Amino acid sequence: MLKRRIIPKILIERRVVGGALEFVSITTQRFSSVRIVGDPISQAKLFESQLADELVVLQRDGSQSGISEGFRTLLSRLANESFMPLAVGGGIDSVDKASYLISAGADKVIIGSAALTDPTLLSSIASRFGSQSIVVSLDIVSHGTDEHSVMTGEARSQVAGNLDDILSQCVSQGAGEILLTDVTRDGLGEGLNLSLGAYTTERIGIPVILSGGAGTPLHFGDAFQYASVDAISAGTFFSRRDQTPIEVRAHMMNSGIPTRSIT
Amino acid sequence: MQRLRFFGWGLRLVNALTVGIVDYQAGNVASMRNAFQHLGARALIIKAPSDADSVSHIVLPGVGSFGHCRRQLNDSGLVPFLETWTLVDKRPLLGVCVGLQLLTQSSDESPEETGLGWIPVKTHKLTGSNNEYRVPHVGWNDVAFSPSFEYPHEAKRDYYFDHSFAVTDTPPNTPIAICDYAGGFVAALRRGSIYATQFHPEKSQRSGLDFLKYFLMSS
Repeated sequence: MLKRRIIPKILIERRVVGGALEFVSITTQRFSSVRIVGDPISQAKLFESQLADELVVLQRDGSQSGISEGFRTLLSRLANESFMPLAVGGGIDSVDKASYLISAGADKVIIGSAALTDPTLLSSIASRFGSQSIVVSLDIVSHGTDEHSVMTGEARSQVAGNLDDILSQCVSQGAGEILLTDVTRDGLGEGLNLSLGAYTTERIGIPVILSGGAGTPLHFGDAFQYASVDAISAGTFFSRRDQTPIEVRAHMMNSGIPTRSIT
Repeated sequence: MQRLRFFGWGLRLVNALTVGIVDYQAGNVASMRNAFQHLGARALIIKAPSDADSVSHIVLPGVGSFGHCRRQLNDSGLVPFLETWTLVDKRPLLGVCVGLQLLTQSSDESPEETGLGWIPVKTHKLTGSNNEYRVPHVGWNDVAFSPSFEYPHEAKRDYYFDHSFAVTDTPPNTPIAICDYAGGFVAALRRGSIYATQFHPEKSQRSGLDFLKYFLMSS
């Protein structure tokens, strides 16, 4: 049986550390209030030892900073030191940039705002790398259970469109998975947006990853059971709350949710 | 008998082996190289036949669309070399994900291209549904190896999958492993000196590294 996935998210940003510009991992609340966590490589190794099912690595505000050589170097180090699948993004707006990261060790690329502005990007990446290598990341603000807006821009304050329309557009252009992040729940730990998850899994046939708001193992269990999402991604939960994928897995096993056997 | 054979593995030194990983200019070859290096083998990237002089094992790795990888393989001039390697000299070859699919006759993903055809089956698109089987099939799933596969790890284990296409018919006279998803498909197979997996052993943590070690030691 296919197992539901637990995916720690490492959000990174460039900061001056000891006089040099380096990538540090951070967490945010509602896409602002940045707090530094530490070194992304040691964090990834920790998640690997805790048997995370996959890892998401996202560059914050990548559409402004772009894909640098430093980012690629960081990614190759991550790929060298872990044997779990890596989904990487933040600033990918062309097939060449996708290729640049895949050749450094990314298994999947995460496409954010460029999926909304360039209608041919997803299909071009799919024809070279296959749909299974494309995750489209959509940042959402919900207005009730059946109305969800896809957000864009600084602190995700502008509406890019209606979720239903954008979902069908992304799927027809070759998206392989959808990563949903609830902007207003981001980093608060007060629970995932179950109605957003359920709304999306009912509409599309590709895997759905839900994120934004995980605060306890129970939140994971509820989203798997009641929103039928395939995976849950969490940043703040795994970086700041003394919680590991191991505890979430134990809760899932006790609730009868299919989870990877650890042998 | 089976136990004795695997005991014999200890006589072979992994660090005397060199794995050549074919680069289609699409996939993530770095992860495959890291995995073999982690096991103690030498690993190098092959882009042309002349790169493969010293290798003992060859891998067709697994990221990229069927059509793109097939065209890259043709352009590299590696096809006649791989044919001799595999079919004439019967030396060990491992196909992973799209690397498995390239060994078949064709794929629904790129109907304009033919496969190598060394495994007499076709690759089809998995049929999904919103409620039960999502496609692409992404994540960790269990795999049942048939006894004839002679894979020593019988305990139920999970392997990492990420694909929309798969071999859904049983190839003749070929020990296989099955993954029970969307009607079932071939998760791994073994035919002569050819080994192939639909899952990604290089991304499957311990269960995957054990499979790569098995490929190195039993072939």
